[in-house]
Amino acid sequence: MKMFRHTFIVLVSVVVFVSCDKAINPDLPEIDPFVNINAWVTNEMKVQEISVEMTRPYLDNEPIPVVDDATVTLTNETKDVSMDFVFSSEIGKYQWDPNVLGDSIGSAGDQFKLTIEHQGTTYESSTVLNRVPAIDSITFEFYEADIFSDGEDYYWGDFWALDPKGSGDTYWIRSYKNGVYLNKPYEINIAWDAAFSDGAEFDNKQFIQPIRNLMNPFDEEETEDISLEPAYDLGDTAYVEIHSVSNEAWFFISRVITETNRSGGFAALFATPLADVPTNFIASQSGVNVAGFFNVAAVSSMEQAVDENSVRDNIPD
Amino acid sequence: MKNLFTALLLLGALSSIGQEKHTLSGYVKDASNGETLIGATVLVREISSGNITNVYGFYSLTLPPGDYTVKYSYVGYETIEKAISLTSNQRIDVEMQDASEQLEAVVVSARAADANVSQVEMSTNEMDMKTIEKIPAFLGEVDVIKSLQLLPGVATVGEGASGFNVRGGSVGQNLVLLDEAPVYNSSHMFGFFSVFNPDAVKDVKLYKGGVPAQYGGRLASILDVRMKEGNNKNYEVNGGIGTIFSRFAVEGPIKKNKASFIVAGRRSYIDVLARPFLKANDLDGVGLYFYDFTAKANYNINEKNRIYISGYFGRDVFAFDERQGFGWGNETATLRWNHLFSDRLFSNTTMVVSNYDYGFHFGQNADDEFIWDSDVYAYNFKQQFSWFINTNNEVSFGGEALFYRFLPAEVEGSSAGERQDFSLDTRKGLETSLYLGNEQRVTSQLTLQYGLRFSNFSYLGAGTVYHFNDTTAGSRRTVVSETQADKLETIKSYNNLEPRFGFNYQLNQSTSVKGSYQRMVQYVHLISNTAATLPTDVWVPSTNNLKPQKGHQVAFGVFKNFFDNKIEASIETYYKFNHNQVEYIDGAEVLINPTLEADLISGVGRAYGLEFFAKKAKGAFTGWVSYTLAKTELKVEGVNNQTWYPTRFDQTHNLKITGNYDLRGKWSFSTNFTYITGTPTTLPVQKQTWGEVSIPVVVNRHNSRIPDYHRLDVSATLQTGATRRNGKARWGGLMEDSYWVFTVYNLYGRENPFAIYFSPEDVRVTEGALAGTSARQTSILGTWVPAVSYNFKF
Repeated sequence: MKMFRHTFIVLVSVVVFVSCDKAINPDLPEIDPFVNINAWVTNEMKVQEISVEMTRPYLDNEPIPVVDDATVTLTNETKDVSMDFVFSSEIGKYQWDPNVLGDSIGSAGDQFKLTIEHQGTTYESSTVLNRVPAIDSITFEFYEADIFSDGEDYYWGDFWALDPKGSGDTYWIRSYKNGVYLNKPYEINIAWDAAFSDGAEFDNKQFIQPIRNLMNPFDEEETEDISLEPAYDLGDTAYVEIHSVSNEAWFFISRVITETNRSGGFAALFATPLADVPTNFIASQSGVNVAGFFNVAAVSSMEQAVDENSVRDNIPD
Repeated sequence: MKNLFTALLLLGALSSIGQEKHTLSGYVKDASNGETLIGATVLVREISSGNITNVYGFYSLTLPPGDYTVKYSYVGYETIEKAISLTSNQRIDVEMQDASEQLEAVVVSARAADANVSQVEMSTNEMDMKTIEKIPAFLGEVDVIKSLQLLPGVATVGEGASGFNVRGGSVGQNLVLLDEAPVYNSSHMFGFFSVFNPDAVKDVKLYKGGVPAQYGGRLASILDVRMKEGNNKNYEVNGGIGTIFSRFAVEGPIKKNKASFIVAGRRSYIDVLARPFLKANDLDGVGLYFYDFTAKANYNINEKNRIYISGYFGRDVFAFDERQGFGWGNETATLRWNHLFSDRLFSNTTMVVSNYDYGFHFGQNADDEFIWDSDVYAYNFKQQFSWFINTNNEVSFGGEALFYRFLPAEVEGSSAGERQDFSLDTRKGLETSLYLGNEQRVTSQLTLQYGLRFSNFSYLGAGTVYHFNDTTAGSRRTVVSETQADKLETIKSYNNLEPRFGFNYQLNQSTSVKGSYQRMVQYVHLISNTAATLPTDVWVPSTNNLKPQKGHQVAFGVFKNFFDNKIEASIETYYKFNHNQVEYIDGAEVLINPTLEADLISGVGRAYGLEFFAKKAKGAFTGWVSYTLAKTELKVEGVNNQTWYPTRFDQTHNLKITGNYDLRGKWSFSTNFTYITGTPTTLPVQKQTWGEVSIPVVVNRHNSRIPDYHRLDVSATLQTGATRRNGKARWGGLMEDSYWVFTVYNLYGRENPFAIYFSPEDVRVTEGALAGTSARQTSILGTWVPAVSYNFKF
């Protein structure tokens, strides 16, 4: 699946002719910083983390101001269990270890509520834990060297999972190559059932391209304008996680992609106006801003090396 | 209003009764090629009054019997005077000689030298191809829409953006007509070129205000492009070889003086030139090109009947490889019949079919692919009458029916061999209208133009009808119920009356004041929430959830000519107030969304401005200065605390200067300069983080502006193959009109900003770390662009 590469290259070559892009340092309007909560917990049996921090001026690249004096309580309302997250100054986040309880946060269908108190304001959010399909396999296809790979042969990966029957399942897919998390804005991968969005119903099928292929890293060569590092090579290892997310959280991530995956040149024509991403937190006091999102996920994962078992010819020539 | 209208009309009709009268009528044409002349003046000396030929070149004057001197004039042509003894109805067709060789060079040929002062129309811009050809254009290509953008009140948000903005209106608020067929996307290569082939265009007229009752359906403007009929005397070949594309046109008589045709085509060839490079790199499927084909034929059956058939077909293709890519195009076909019921009653019947589509195709094989196509079809029937009651009244009336079929998304996907169709319902609508208008010369100083248009729009089944709840303003609405509509069932119907009024009070031969009022209603909407209007934007009808846009405009202007019409000047001011303007919630999903309206919000809009225009139309040096001071704003519940904020295309200052110097020999030189205030943009006020990503925090839309835009272009035209010193044509007259055009676009290479954007650094950071953020400014054309083209005619 070379579509993204091709699209990218064609656009880039057009841009190379005519457009130009430069860093600027504009004076930005500012408002007072406010609380930003990242609460993306899972029902895996490992330490869960929630971060509470303050927003900052956009072009200020100093470390994030962390809020260390909040009270963070997660409640499984279905099972009527409360979990207190405790601030760890070591990592600057609030933590809770399921092994202490001896049980995970909950299971699919459970209803959750998160309550955070800070300086007299309570921030609340609710969500539900959704189901996740297993990953059946990860395969790789061999490609001979082409103009994009700077003369090197490469392997291109697909992960295979079947979206369960019933529409409205939403997922966040996290991919790693050799243990490195692929976290550039254009590597963020989400799915609504087996395809892109709400309107386009694509239920109970294998995830479509290019969702299957976004597990591949996308790295431009430093020296060449239009070359990319080979995605995978023999011996490399891929690791893919599917997280179930609420429809609202799917929309949040989709908005994050739109607002952060921006580039110049010709792509600027296609840009939507800059706008705020949503939050599912509500502040107890009116007029108090809050940002961030709360989601409880079930997770499926698979690790696979590029070897004779995983390489196959999906598209016979 | 209606009563006043009827009274005025009766008055006009009555004034023609009570005395025996005869009619002088006919067509005015160009002697060299038989093309009818639009807007030629037919003046009767004895009564200092007359008529102007209509868009088909027809005029009609009803006068008491007597001896008259009738003067036919048209700028750039030799004036003809005829002594006529009017004792019965007379038909006089006139052929006028092109005088451009003998007279001073003409840059802007208004219809009559003083037309801008004497005609009741205001807020209109007319350009003929002779003018447009002299304006230095991007990559040396003559372009209709780029030329219009040099006039007051007409703007664009930047290079690469499709379409144009008129008096603060959006691109989708312009009705673009090519031989009366609606064109839904007027651009090639996004916005670098327009779809009109200059070799096939005869006349271009843009109504920014004071729109006559015969036009309707859009809020901001009507762009009426008329195609050439084709030389009905001799064969003629025109063409050009340019940097980006080549053009070729053939026209000639099918039957001399009775029937003629023109066919014209263009194709870009950057892909042809790049093919060896692409092939060498295993990229031979990559394509990036456009083409268009324009054709027209007409047949003059007899003195009373003439038929025209015209068509356009154009396409843009961006192919990534053999199977994948995206493209768009317009197709239109127009059939027209001009019929004279009498010397005083002119009729035109038009039938139009038009289509706009775009599509994507992704996927390497049939097992894994994604095919997406979107279409708008319009079928149009129009009947128009012009009734030339007397020299003081010209009544126009008629009606129109426009049936739309919108296919917002025909989508088929397959994954690992399993196929799925997730197309959206076809949406249908019927727009009908009736109109009646009159242009009345009340006194020798005062002329009125008034009319009324009644319009109806019905949103028709079959399909799913969604009913939404009311929610917090600015957020997505949810469906509370769905019903199914039967085939052609009226789901929702809207009726509107659209009054139009204009006056011209001529203070003296060279000065007049004009005013106008219009109410316009728009039933179809262009849904676009990207920085530039794009070929992939969808058109949607008004529905039970999306109301028609309605707008009022008043305009007032002073028009004055100096030095015997050598310099024309005008100042116009306008104020517009619009209802039901379409805006978008944050994160609106506008593609493949069955409940699109749930993501749309509506508000009111206002626009006001001052337009200044001065033009030197005669002499070796010609040119104009156009300056617009304007503001355009929206107020929408759920956006910016419901306060007024500027639209994306708000430009405070818009200055254009165009000059042309003709050396009266082989060379002529042109230049234009543009200065525009930077367009509004949205800047983040904070940032929040999510994992390794920093996300901008935004409070208000359009809280700042990008830097100003300015640009200087120059061009030089070299006539070759012209006449020899002894006056005889070289090569037996072959290639007598060939010329080279050398242009430099953006001469001083300014990096004009198109947008400012904010993004995290393009690096992969370790899990839990945070990528830095920066601001960047992008220019679509960040350099000077030279080009050369060769144009020929034989």
